[in-house]
Amino acid sequence: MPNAADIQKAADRIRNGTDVFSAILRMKKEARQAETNGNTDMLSTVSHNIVPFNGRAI
Amino acid sequence: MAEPYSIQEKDGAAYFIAANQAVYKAFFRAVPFEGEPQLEGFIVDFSFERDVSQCADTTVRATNGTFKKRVGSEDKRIQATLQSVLNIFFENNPYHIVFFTCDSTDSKHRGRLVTFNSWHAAHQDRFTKIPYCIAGGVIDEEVLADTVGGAIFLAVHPHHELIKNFVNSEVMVYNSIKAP
Repeated sequence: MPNAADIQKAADRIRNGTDVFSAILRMKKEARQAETNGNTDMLSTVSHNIVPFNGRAI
Repeated sequence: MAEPYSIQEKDGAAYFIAANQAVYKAFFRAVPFEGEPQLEGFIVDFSFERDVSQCADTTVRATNGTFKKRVGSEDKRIQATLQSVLNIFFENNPYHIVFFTCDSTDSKHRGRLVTFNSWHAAHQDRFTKIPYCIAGGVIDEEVLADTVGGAIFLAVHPHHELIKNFVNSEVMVYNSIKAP
Protein backbone atom coordinates (compact mmCIF):
# COMPACT_ATOMS: atom_id res chain seq x y z
CA MET A 1 0.00 0.00 0.00
CA PRO A 2 1.52 3.35 -0.98
CA ASN A 3 2.12 5.79 1.86
CA ALA A 4 0.99 9.42 2.01
CA ALA A 5 4.24 10.69 0.50
CA ASP A 6 3.93 8.35 -2.51
CA ILE A 7 0.34 9.44 -3.04
CA GLN A 8 1.26 13.12 -2.79
CA LYS A 9 4.06 12.70 -5.34
CA ALA A 10 1.71 10.85 -7.70
CA ALA A 11 -0.90 13.59 -7.31
CA ASP A 12 1.70 16.26 -8.15
CA ARG A 13 2.81 14.36 -11.26
CA ILE A 14 -0.75 13.81 -12.44
CA ARG A 15 -1.72 17.46 -11.91
CA ASN A 16 1.38 18.53 -13.87
CA GLY A 17 0.74 15.94 -16.59
CA THR A 18 4.17 14.40 -15.95
CA ASP A 19 2.90 11.01 -14.76
CA VAL A 20 3.33 7.67 -16.51
CA PHE A 21 -0.30 7.05 -17.45
CA SER A 22 -0.82 10.49 -18.99
CA ALA A 23 2.37 9.95 -21.01
CA ILE A 24 1.29 6.49 -22.21
CA LEU A 25 -2.21 7.64 -23.15
CA ARG A 26 -0.72 10.66 -24.95
CA MET A 27 1.69 8.43 -26.89
CA LYS A 28 -1.12 6.09 -27.91
CA LYS A 29 -3.29 9.02 -28.98
CA GLU A 30 -0.46 10.42 -31.15
CA ALA A 31 0.03 7.01 -32.73
CA ARG A 32 -3.70 6.71 -33.48
CA GLN A 33 -3.75 10.19 -35.01
CA ALA A 34 -0.67 9.49 -37.13
CA GLU A 35 -2.22 6.25 -38.39
CA THR A 36 -5.57 7.90 -39.13
CA ASN A 37 -4.05 10.90 -40.90
CA GLY A 38 -1.29 9.01 -42.68
CA ASN A 39 1.03 11.68 -41.29
CA THR A 40 4.52 10.27 -41.77
CA ASP A 41 6.16 13.23 -39.97
CA MET A 42 4.12 12.48 -36.90
CA LEU A 43 4.88 8.78 -37.21
CA SER A 44 8.60 9.50 -37.05
CA THR A 45 8.00 11.60 -33.93
CA VAL A 46 5.94 8.81 -32.41
CA SER A 47 8.73 6.31 -33.16
CA HIS A 48 11.68 8.38 -32.00
CA ASN A 49 11.65 7.12 -28.44
CA ILE A 50 11.75 3.41 -29.30
CA VAL A 51 13.96 1.36 -26.99
CA PRO A 52 15.54 -1.43 -29.10
CA PHE A 53 14.01 -4.75 -28.06
CA ASN A 54 17.22 -6.67 -28.70
CA GLY A 55 19.82 -4.33 -27.27
CA ARG A 56 20.72 -2.79 -23.95
CA ALA A 57 19.09 0.59 -23.48
CA ILE A 58 21.37 1.83 -20.71
CA MET B 1 3.98 -23.97 -26.58
CA ALA B 2 3.67 -22.93 -30.22
CA GLU B 3 6.80 -22.11 -32.17
CA PRO B 4 7.43 -18.36 -32.53
CA TYR B 5 7.67 -16.85 -36.01
CA SER B 6 10.99 -15.56 -37.26
CA ILE B 7 11.59 -12.05 -35.89
CA GLN B 8 13.27 -9.29 -37.89
CA GLU B 9 14.63 -6.12 -36.30
CA LYS B 10 14.20 -2.73 -37.93
CA ASP B 11 14.85 0.61 -36.19
CA GLY B 12 14.64 -1.08 -32.79
CA ALA B 13 11.21 -2.65 -33.44
CA ALA B 14 10.48 -6.36 -33.91
CA TYR B 15 8.67 -7.41 -37.09
CA PHE B 16 7.20 -10.76 -38.03
CA ILE B 17 4.77 -12.10 -40.61
CA ALA B 18 2.05 -14.51 -39.51
CA ALA B 19 0.76 -17.41 -41.60
CA ASN B 20 -2.22 -15.29 -42.75
CA GLN B 21 0.30 -12.71 -44.10
CA ALA B 22 -0.53 -10.13 -41.43
CA VAL B 23 2.58 -8.11 -40.60
CA TYR B 24 3.14 -7.46 -36.91
CA LYS B 25 5.29 -4.72 -35.42
CA ALA B 26 6.10 -4.93 -31.71
CA PHE B 27 8.03 -2.19 -29.97
CA PHE B 28 9.01 -0.70 -26.64
CA ARG B 29 8.86 3.08 -26.16
CA ALA B 30 10.48 5.03 -23.36
CA VAL B 31 7.84 6.71 -21.22
CA PRO B 32 8.77 10.25 -20.17
CA PHE B 33 7.78 11.22 -16.65
CA GLU B 34 9.22 13.19 -13.73
CA GLY B 35 9.49 13.00 -9.99
CA GLU B 36 11.10 9.60 -9.30
CA PRO B 37 14.75 9.89 -10.41
CA GLN B 38 15.62 6.27 -9.60
CA LEU B 39 13.08 5.04 -12.15
CA GLU B 40 13.54 7.64 -14.88
CA GLY B 41 14.72 6.03 -18.11
CA PHE B 42 13.60 2.57 -16.96
CA ILE B 43 9.88 2.67 -17.77
CA VAL B 44 8.74 1.52 -21.21
CA ASP B 45 5.42 0.91 -22.89
CA PHE B 46 5.10 -2.30 -24.91
CA SER B 47 2.79 -2.02 -27.92
CA PHE B 48 2.14 -3.94 -31.07
CA GLU B 49 0.40 -3.15 -34.34
CA ARG B 50 -0.93 -5.30 -37.16
CA ASP B 51 -1.02 -4.55 -40.88
CA VAL B 52 -3.58 -6.75 -42.62
CA SER B 53 -3.28 -5.20 -46.08
CA GLN B 54 -1.55 -8.30 -47.43
CA CYS B 55 -4.08 -10.75 -45.98
CA ALA B 56 -6.64 -12.51 -48.15
CA ASP B 57 -9.73 -10.34 -48.50
CA THR B 58 -12.52 -11.85 -46.43
CA THR B 59 -14.43 -8.66 -45.77
CA VAL B 60 -17.66 -9.05 -43.86
CA ARG B 61 -20.38 -6.62 -42.93
CA ALA B 62 -20.60 -5.93 -39.21
CA THR B 63 -23.94 -5.57 -37.42
CA ASN B 64 -23.53 -1.77 -37.33
CA GLY B 65 -23.29 -1.65 -41.13
CA THR B 66 -19.56 -1.06 -41.36
CA PHE B 67 -17.26 -3.39 -43.25
CA LYS B 68 -14.47 -5.23 -41.54
CA LYS B 69 -11.66 -7.31 -42.89
CA ARG B 70 -11.68 -10.63 -41.05
CA VAL B 71 -8.27 -12.23 -41.15
CA GLY B 72 -8.55 -14.71 -38.30
CA SER B 73 -6.48 -14.53 -35.16
CA GLU B 74 -6.58 -18.04 -33.69
CA ASP B 75 -2.89 -18.43 -34.29
CA LYS B 76 -0.96 -19.49 -31.20
CA ARG B 77 2.32 -18.66 -32.92
CA ILE B 78 1.47 -14.93 -32.83
CA GLN B 79 1.13 -14.99 -29.05
CA ALA B 80 4.30 -17.08 -28.78
CA THR B 81 6.22 -14.59 -30.93
CA LEU B 82 5.08 -11.55 -28.92
CA GLN B 83 6.07 -13.35 -25.74
CA SER B 84 9.43 -14.15 -27.29
CA VAL B 85 9.95 -10.42 -28.00
CA LEU B 86 9.22 -9.70 -24.34
CA ASN B 87 11.76 -12.35 -23.29
CA ILE B 88 14.44 -10.87 -25.52
CA PHE B 89 13.76 -7.39 -24.14
CA PHE B 90 14.10 -8.51 -20.51
CA GLU B 91 17.25 -10.52 -21.30
CA ASN B 92 18.83 -7.28 -22.49
CA ASN B 93 17.16 -4.91 -20.04
CA PRO B 94 16.46 -6.80 -16.81
CA TYR B 95 15.92 -3.69 -14.70
CA HIS B 96 13.34 -2.06 -16.96
CA ILE B 97 9.68 -1.86 -16.03
CA VAL B 98 7.37 -2.82 -18.88
CA PHE B 99 3.88 -1.34 -18.98
CA PHE B 100 1.35 -2.93 -21.29
CA THR B 101 -1.91 -1.09 -21.76
CA CYS B 102 -4.88 -2.18 -23.82
CA ASP B 103 -7.75 0.21 -24.38
CA SER B 104 -11.18 -1.33 -24.51
CA THR B 105 -12.47 0.44 -27.62
CA ASP B 106 -12.83 -2.97 -29.23
CA SER B 107 -12.99 -6.53 -27.95
CA LYS B 108 -9.39 -7.18 -28.96
CA HIS B 109 -8.08 -5.99 -25.61
CA ARG B 110 -9.06 -9.30 -24.05
CA GLY B 111 -6.84 -11.19 -26.48
CA ARG B 112 -3.98 -8.78 -25.83
CA LEU B 113 -4.37 -9.23 -22.09
CA VAL B 114 -4.27 -13.01 -22.51
CA THR B 115 -0.89 -12.67 -24.22
CA PHE B 116 0.62 -10.78 -21.29
CA ASN B 117 -1.14 -12.77 -18.59
CA SER B 118 -0.03 -16.10 -20.00
CA TRP B 119 3.53 -14.77 -20.34
CA HIS B 120 3.48 -13.78 -16.68
CA ALA B 121 1.94 -17.09 -15.61
CA ALA B 122 4.96 -18.82 -17.12
CA HIS B 123 7.41 -16.39 -15.48
CA GLN B 124 5.76 -15.53 -12.17
CA ASP B 125 8.65 -16.96 -10.18
CA ARG B 126 10.93 -14.30 -11.68
CA PHE B 127 8.64 -11.34 -12.41
CA THR B 128 6.10 -9.30 -10.49
CA LYS B 129 3.00 -8.05 -12.29
CA ILE B 130 0.80 -5.24 -11.02
CA PRO B 131 -2.48 -5.30 -12.94
CA TYR B 132 -4.44 -2.09 -13.27
CA CYS B 133 -7.56 -0.55 -14.76
CA ILE B 134 -7.51 3.13 -15.72
CA ALA B 135 -10.98 4.60 -16.00
CA GLY B 136 -11.77 6.29 -19.28
CA GLY B 137 -12.87 9.87 -19.59
CA VAL B 138 -12.27 13.01 -21.60
CA ILE B 139 -8.57 13.69 -21.97
CA ASP B 140 -7.28 16.46 -24.25
CA GLU B 141 -10.81 16.76 -25.68
CA GLU B 142 -10.83 13.10 -26.71
CA VAL B 143 -13.18 10.55 -25.18
CA LEU B 144 -11.16 7.57 -24.07
CA ALA B 145 -12.38 4.11 -23.13
CA ASP B 146 -11.24 2.28 -20.02
CA THR B 147 -7.67 1.06 -20.22
CA VAL B 148 -6.59 -2.22 -18.70
CA GLY B 149 -3.09 -3.55 -18.39
CA GLY B 150 -0.24 -4.11 -16.04
CA ALA B 151 3.33 -3.32 -15.11
CA ILE B 152 5.88 -6.12 -15.18
CA PHE B 153 9.28 -6.03 -13.52
CA LEU B 154 11.88 -8.28 -11.99
CA ALA B 155 10.81 -9.87 -8.68
CA VAL B 156 14.30 -9.24 -7.31
CA HIS B 157 14.50 -5.71 -8.71
CA PRO B 158 16.55 -3.52 -6.32
CA HIS B 159 13.72 -0.94 -6.35
CA HIS B 160 10.90 -3.49 -6.12
CA GLU B 161 8.97 -1.76 -3.31
CA LEU B 162 9.49 1.67 -4.84
CA ILE B 163 8.09 0.45 -8.17
CA LYS B 164 5.12 -1.24 -6.50
CA ASN B 165 4.22 1.89 -4.58
CA PHE B 166 4.88 4.09 -7.60
CA VAL B 167 2.50 2.15 -9.85
CA ASN B 168 -0.20 1.65 -7.21
CA SER B 169 -0.18 5.30 -6.16
CA GLU B 170 -0.40 6.52 -9.78
CA VAL B 171 -3.35 4.20 -10.48
CA MET B 172 -5.13 5.21 -7.30
CA VAL B 173 -4.66 8.96 -7.79
CA TYR B 174 -5.18 8.92 -11.55
CA ASN B 175 -8.54 7.21 -11.17
CA SER B 176 -9.62 9.55 -8.38
CA ILE B 177 -8.63 12.72 -10.27
CA LYS B 178 -9.28 11.87 -13.91
CA ALA B 179 -12.20 9.48 -13.75
CA PRO B 180 -15.55 11.07 -14.63
